[in-house]
Amino acid sequence: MSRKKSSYAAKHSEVIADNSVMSNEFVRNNPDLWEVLRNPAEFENNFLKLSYSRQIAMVDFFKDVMYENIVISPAKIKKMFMNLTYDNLETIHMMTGSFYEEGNVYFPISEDEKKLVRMECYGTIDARREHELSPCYKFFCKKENRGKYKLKDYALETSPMWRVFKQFESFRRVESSVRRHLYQQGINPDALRVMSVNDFCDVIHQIYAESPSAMKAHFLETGYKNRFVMNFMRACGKDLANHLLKRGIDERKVASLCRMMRKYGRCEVDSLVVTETHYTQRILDDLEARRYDVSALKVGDPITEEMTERLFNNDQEHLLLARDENGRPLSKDDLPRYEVHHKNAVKFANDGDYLAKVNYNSNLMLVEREMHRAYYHGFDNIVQVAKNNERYFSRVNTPAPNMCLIDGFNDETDIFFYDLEANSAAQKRMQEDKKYVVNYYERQIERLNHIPEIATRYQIEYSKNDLSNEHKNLQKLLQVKISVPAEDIKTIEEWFAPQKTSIKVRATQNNIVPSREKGGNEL
Amino acid sequence: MSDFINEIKKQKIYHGEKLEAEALIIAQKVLHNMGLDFIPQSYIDFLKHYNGLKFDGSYLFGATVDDDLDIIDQNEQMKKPEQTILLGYNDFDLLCYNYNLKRYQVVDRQDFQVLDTYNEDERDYALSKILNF
Repeated sequence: MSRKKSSYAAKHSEVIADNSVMSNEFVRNNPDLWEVLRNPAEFENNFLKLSYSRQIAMVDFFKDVMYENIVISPAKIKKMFMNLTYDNLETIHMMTGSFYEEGNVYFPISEDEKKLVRMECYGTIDARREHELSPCYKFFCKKENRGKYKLKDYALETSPMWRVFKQFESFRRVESSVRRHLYQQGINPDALRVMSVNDFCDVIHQIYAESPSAMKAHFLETGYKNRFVMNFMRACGKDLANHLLKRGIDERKVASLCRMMRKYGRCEVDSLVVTETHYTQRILDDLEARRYDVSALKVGDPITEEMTERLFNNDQEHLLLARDENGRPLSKDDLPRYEVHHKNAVKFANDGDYLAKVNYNSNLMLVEREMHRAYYHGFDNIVQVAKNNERYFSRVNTPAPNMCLIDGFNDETDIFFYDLEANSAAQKRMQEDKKYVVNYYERQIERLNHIPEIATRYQIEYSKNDLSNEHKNLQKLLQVKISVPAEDIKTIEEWFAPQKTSIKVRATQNNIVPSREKGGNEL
Repeated sequence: MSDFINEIKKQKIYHGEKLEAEALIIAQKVLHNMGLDFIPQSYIDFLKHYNGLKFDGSYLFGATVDDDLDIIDQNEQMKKPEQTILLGYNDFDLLCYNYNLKRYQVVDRQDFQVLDTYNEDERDYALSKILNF
């Protein structure tokens, strides 16, 4: 106990070091990197001779130079380091099939779209808090406001926000369940036109959550991130195993990692249980002690996938635990830690293409963790220009659609290519996705336009907070260049204008006339 | 015990060693010396159950010797919005505690756009948003 305590204390006992490093210190402290750095003509050969951790250190140094995280003086030396950095980084980009995009403008996707991309990627939906739901939806969910309608009344294509969901294959799959749920719950079909993204999330959560209080619901059996890893393993699993074995990694570790990636689409090493590939006397004894029939088995026999599966399913995988010659579990330190990387960032999904493409296999890639952080995201930078919502960005981009794994900087041995979209299901999905493309901002304006009418017809009360939230939504929309008639926006802007008090809508036959709850003054 | 913590219990999720009082004090001191505020009480309550978690690219930090989960290391190393303590992250987002607003925030990792905000009593919603199991 005391050792544990002191280890954490020791770890942070030193004063936090000053991050600034003088260039001469860099040269003195990193003679190996300096030797590589100083000679751009031989950079590729020399860089590849460095250990992986030193290669990452080099990339980190480039980042510090580019973003001036370190002090380099005098100016002449600084210029020299800048030039070396740019030249040599260019070589690294060539080796990884990437390029550095800097200073371009993009229009970010909306918050709602970002959330949908995440849901599809993970295959999960989080529970919504009540205040996240729209007043109209909450009104129609009340028991006294439910009714009996026909299934055909639930035309989801009339819902502006469902059309945003429908851009994604994963949500098209649950469309009939959503329709049926709304029908079974007796939700007024008029709600469809004013339901928000959060409202539909609430519906999907209700359908798929194990219990109403569950924080998360799995609406897909496997999220697209894990599915990508499984697809990759189906196509390149043997190659990956050979690649890791060539690096000298123990075959039991390789087999266990590959199994996890193949079966669950996960790459995490920390929770990985490395199991034996062949029976040992210890395993046979342990199995027998737990009344498994091992009479037909002997030491050295391969452990079948069925047996491994059976033990994992029974939470007894520890019986197969691989051990070293001293009986200790194997260290997992030499296993690569892969992470899934979006080649084209989610935030750029609006630019020149359709949103659903962001989670395609062709836009995903497995990257070794250090490289992912130091290289692929080390150069990320964004400068926002508030006036028109434009933002400038810099980023390392990887355009190659078939590049599916990168495990180092050597393009001959560390990069895997495979066209994971070359199948009829993927092709069909692409065609379908293109059919359902919508402009989020226009659909949101359409939804907001329906609110005065629906709220008036059903006398749905909007609190000051509700109005303020919808007004904020509208203001965000107005920052984006969209082709919506000015008159449409004027009407709803007036309706959602911030009020001192809540408003209760007074129904009239043809006009939308909201009135103040207190005092009854007309707006 | 909250539903969320019960849900975690059902999963095989890697977590840090049991929270030690000394480790928590050190974490608070170092964060404070870094110019940040203290770890919020509701998060400390969570650390008493799980002192850092990692699962399939999702991380929640603690006062632990595991570098991936060490709240001090991660606050030193990762980019994060101003006026916040970083408490975790996943593939897309950061989980921050904005000590000016006294609220948890889920923030886009790339452009720091605040996607969701949670009161302290909504801690489990915030943690659940980051931890994908």
